[in-house]
Amino acid sequence: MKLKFNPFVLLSIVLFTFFSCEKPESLYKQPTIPQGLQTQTFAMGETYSNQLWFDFETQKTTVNTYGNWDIAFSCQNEPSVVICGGKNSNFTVAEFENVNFKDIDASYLTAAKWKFDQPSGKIDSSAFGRCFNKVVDGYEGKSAIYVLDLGEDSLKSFRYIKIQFIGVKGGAYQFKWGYVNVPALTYLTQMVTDPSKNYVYYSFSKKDVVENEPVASEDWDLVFTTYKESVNDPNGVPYNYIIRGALANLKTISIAQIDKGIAYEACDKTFALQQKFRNNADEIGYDWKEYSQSIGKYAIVPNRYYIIKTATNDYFKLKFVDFYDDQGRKGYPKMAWQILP
Amino acid sequence: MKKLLFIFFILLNIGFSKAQSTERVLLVVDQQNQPLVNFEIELQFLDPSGKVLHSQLSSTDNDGQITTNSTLPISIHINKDLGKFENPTRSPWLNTEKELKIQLITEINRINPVSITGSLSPRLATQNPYSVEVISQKTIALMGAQNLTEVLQNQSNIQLSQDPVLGSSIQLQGLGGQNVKILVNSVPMIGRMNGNLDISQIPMNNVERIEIIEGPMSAVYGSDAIGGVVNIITKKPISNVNRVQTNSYIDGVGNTNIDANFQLGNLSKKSRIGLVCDMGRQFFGGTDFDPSTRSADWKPKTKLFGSIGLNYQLKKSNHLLRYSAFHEKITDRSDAEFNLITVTGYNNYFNTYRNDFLLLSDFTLNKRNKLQFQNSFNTYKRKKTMVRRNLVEGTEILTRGEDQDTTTNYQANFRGFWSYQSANKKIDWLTGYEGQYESIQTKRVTKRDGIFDMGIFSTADINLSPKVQLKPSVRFVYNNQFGTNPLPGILSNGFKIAPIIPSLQLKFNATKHLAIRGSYARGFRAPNIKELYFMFVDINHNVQGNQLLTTETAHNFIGSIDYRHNINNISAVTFKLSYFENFVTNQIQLALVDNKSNLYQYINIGKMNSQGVNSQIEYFYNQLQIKLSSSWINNESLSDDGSNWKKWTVVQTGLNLMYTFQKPKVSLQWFSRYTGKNYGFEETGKPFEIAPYFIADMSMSVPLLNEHILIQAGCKNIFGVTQVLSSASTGSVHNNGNGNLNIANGRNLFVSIKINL
Repeated sequence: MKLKFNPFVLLSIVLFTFFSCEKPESLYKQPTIPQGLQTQTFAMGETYSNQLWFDFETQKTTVNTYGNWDIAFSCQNEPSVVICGGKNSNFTVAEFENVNFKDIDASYLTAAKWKFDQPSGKIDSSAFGRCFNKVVDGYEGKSAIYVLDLGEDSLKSFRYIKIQFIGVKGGAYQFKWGYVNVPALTYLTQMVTDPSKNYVYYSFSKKDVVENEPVASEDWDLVFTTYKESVNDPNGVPYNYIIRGALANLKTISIAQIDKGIAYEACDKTFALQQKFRNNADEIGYDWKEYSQSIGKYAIVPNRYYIIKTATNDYFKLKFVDFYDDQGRKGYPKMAWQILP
Repeated sequence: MKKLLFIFFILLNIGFSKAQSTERVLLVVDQQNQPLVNFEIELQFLDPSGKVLHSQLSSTDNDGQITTNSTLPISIHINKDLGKFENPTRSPWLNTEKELKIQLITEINRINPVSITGSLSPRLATQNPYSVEVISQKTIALMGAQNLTEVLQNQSNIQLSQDPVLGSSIQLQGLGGQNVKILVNSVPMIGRMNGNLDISQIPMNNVERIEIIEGPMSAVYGSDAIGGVVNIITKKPISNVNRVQTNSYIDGVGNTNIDANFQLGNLSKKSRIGLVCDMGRQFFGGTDFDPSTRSADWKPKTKLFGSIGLNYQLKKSNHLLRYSAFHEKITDRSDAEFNLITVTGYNNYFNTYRNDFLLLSDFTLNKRNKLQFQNSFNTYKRKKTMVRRNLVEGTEILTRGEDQDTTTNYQANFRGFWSYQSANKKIDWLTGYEGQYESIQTKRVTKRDGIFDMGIFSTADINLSPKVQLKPSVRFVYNNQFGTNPLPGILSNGFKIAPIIPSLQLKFNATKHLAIRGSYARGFRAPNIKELYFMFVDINHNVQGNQLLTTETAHNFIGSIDYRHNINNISAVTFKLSYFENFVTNQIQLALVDNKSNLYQYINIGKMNSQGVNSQIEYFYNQLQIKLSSSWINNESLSDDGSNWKKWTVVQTGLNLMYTFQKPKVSLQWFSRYTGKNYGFEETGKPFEIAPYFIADMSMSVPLLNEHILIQAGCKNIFGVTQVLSSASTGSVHNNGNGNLNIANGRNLFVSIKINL
């Protein structure tokens, strides 16, 4: 049979296949913006160099540069010490009983049982734990000697700090410290607390107090900052993990995290009153976002929001809506919230 | 003096013989215009009335030639199982014609196909001392395969991994990624992402055949050929054959493809120049198993490709100039983020561009000496563009510079061969050189100048007896990054010799139908630029190359038996059983080397062993073809310090059925493969299981209008496999992390129309 070539058949096949293109994406419906919704972006910056202290009542944000501190001393209630913020790359502490301060040297490091600090702000979860005993005129330090590992970024000679807490008297912490690898250098330091602040901060390299909390403790509710937490590797060995998130001021707010039940839009005060509020500084923390492997970006956890209870018994519902600015730069968390009348 | 006189007498005699020669030459070539070596032809010598006086079974020499001094007309006959005439040939071969060229279609040679990988001229696969699997153009067409992935997924000895963005990668003999060499017309393909080449970027529209060699071919093909070689041979112009072909394909999961190719065997009647040209477009709209999400499980893709080849044929030489171009665009969407105020999302656009130039020249110096020069230049560019999209307004903003990435990869490869066949045809010697310069430019690779690799190799087919064939090979390698100075203090410190790569292959023809093969081969792989100089350190990542890496080396042992028997005119059977052992040392892998700093680095991990058995039985009866194959592969890897030991086993079986009715000439095909429980490894090294699955395709081909039109329709993935359970705790970079692994995009009805004009 002789083939009769019909160019129109061929042309129609070509046209059909060449006109199959990727469909333009349908537009999404504009969400109905809840009444009274307020939003704010907190510009930590791509390198997270900024800390932002936010007050719900005044909606004022105070910005300072992320602090260059190693150890912080509580100015509130019972004395305590934290290390999970600050610049250094590690935040582990080992405790040695029945040993003299001067005897601690590098040989002790091999037997050290390192403990991590936790960012909840609670004394029992801190690496130092309850390191002071109450006495009549204040507090005296436990007899233990602590060794603090500042991390690999420090010079080897100055990486390990040994500390002995002497006590807290007259609103001042007194402690003795020195370098494990440089026994000749020993310092006696007094840290005067500031009742208007939550913590006072100290730098071993500067051997001085570092300003890190720019506003009075009554004047902020949340701080967007960089801090650390320990996580376990696949073999169950803990290691430090540097995270960026929001820490709460336990003096001014308590928080309930909501993952199921009622969606953000439907949450009202009746629902809020049924919730259990926690006094953990990291209750909001960082896990309102999660890293999406598929797109290589952080995505907001869709159904997670928070209810904030203030010291004056006001209630807010709060949801994070973004972690990027319009240019796609990370480090710009955007928060939306509403007062629950 | 007597000796000198004797030599003079001999030379004189030869000269006289030449002067008086009545030599006539029959040249036998394949579809590619390549001489067929050792190809059996029956010559029937005729008297003037056409009566057969006698017949003779001859085989072609190294140039694909048979020489005769007969002055009689000769009728030429070919065993129909070995091939058929491509173009009409006058018969008989008249005694007035000094030369005659015949061109054969050899793919109908169903139990003994022709292959070229590892040698200079096409030869029957059974004549190789190594085992070559050939997938013919016809089989590719019957599969309805659109790209190389769809072809190889029906091979039981190959494991496939698929990533929606990075594409498909393969494993041979338990070794994958960098350890499998993919060649297009014997030129290494470039553009590895995460060590793997995306074989779905190789369209099948212009492919003549695919050849697969398991086991190291490092002696001939250099680095990256530890696991094996896959060589894709594209169509070349055929003398005196003009052809126009269009293919269109549409299926139920959103593929719409079209391509066309045409060839002019000779641009004009007297011209020796042939032209072949092809172009095509493949479009895939994407598949999403969960329509409520914005991201697609299989990403939308558009591919555009084309090539042009010019063939210039002279009496003693042949020259092919080929250029091919390829572009692929993949759209990867994130899930939508509903953030109370608006709805946003991210789009990643991955654009891949390939340009390949090839100049291939063959020279026939004389009956026993041939030269081939192959020069190629390849470019690869992959551009990732990320935009943030306002899904309510439809606007897009390019995100920060750090999210955008362009990887450019260049390769210049030049190879030269000299092939020599001894007068008694007992030795075929192939000696050659290969130089390769490769550079990669991406913002995450700190080194800008490339790696130069030079090899000199030699291999010989030695016919010790009609039954025993030996093939020793050796390659000397110079690499400007690796190796040791052989004469320290004498040679400059920069002079380094990489490992010497030997191999030895042995074939024993136990009977007319049974061949036993055994081989030892050394393989090696030099670390690539990325493994050496990668640097991706930011607040979330700490992935670094390692300039202290050393070369991967391997010892490979293969033993096989190969039985092929044309039982009678209508039935034939083949059976192949092979066992292999691979011992790889210094295998390079990306590993988490420091928890505290979250440092991932390329390291030589220690030992990796794999062993396995492949078996295949094929039965032909009339127009029925049944192929049953299976493979069992056991893998073990062990760190140098013995701390990280992994062991996993993979079993695969395949069943292919093909039947062609005589009238009407309708063909039915069934291709199926079962993949047993498989294993993968998370970045932390933790193993995870992947559940078994079974994939089967069925189709029917109907030729119309004297085979000018071929309509094919069928169903791919009849059982609708989409995802299988995986125990991975996290998804891969481009996969979901919901415990499922994407395998295929579901049951898929397809229709294709091929028009041959």
